Amino acid sequence: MANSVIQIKNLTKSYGKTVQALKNVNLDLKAGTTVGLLGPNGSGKTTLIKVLTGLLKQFEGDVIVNGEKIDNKSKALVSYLPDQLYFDNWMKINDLKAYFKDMFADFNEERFNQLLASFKIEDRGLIKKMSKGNKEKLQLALVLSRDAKVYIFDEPIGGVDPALRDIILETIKNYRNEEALVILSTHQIYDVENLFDEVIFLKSGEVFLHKPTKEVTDEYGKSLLETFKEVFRNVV
Amino acid sequence: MLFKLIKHEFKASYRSYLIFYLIVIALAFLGPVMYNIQLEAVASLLVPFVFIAIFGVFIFTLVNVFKSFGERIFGKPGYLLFSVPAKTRDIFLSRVLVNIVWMVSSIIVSVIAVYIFIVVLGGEAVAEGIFDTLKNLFNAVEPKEIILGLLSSGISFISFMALILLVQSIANTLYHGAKKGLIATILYFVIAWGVSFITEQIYANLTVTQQSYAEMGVGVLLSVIYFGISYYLVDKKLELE
Repeated sequence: MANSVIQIKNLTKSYGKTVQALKNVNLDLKAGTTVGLLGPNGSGKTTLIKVLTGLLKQFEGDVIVNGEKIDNKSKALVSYLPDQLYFDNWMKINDLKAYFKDMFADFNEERFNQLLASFKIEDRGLIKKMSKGNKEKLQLALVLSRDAKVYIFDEPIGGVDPALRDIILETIKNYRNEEALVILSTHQIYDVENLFDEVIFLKSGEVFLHKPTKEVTDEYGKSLLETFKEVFRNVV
Repeated sequence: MLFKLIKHEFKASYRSYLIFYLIVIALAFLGPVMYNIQLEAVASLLVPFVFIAIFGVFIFTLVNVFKSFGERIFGKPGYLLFSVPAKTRDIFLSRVLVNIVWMVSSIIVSVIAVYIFIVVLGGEAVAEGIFDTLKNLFNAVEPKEIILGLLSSGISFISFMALILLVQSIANTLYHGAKKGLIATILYFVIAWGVSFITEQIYANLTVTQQSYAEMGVGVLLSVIYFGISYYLVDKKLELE
């Protein structure tokens, strides 16, 4: 039985007095699995991810990463791809590489160079002058160049063209640390169901189901995409 | 981790500062040179720019300090900054130390620019006159007073940074609207005015020496309060949008 890497107990997160983004979420996620965090826009996926990465600190409940509450030690174990680009205007690729080398002990420079080559990203000065697609690939290369215990991808294929989507999914499959927990959030189920060992359906901030992918498709007698459509028909 | 954060903060800021400093020094030199070689039309165009540039160094530094504690912590770069295994305390300290270095550098560059301007325009005699005046000034002041002056300036810088950090932390954690920059700016002036109003009442009956000690004490106390509140807000209430 694989070890629990993330344990979430009674997690509730509200924005103001009216909006409850997460409601009593309980999850136990194990090493070596790839988990699909699925739900329509506004279902609480990004909020959950921000809690796990320490970017949201106001919440109720317990969140444990590798046996510890979220702090700077747990951040050293989590490699996170946010749903937006975080590059500062002054940065060049070499600056970013130096930053990751200094900040993350598990950064693998050789793998990063390999990924840059396979993504065909050339270093042509400031990152802000690169195309959006190349910036997204660069951010993915940075995240995958870490030998992390947990990889979290927030909408890595949202808004990208089909060719780039395939590249991203292939890279996630091939380059990640095999013993790590991978959480991938998306509302685009098309083409990704083979990637997931388990799926979590988040519906209006609540865990609607958390099961192995095969169990879900067997239970509903449909593909993951069709199951998703059925579950969220009245929500989307 | 603190030293790594400081290193990368310098890398993030040095390019823009150095370019600005070079422009100011170059203008301070070229303006009077044009006068000296009788190109008065060019000189009359350049000289106003010298003063604008010297004044601009301070505005540029202030804007950069505000950005350094604002959008470069709480904006999109915050996604990377708060993902690294660094303590909030180290993040704050690195920003404060680097920004103090740039503020002091900006003052030094401005003084050098004014000096170059005067010396190039007035020649060697003016340079010697400035040196003599400075020498007499230093001789007239007690070493203890110089140390106190430096200490007081250092505390003022730290207190100034701490207040910027506080207003940015409030605007980016407690306020959830879109006009965070505006809110931070308004808060800055309101708090600065309020503190100045209260301290003026306290200092009213003190002698000059007592007042300078009191200012330092209040500066230290305010810095601790501002940092404490900012630390609490970011460490407990952070909500990156």
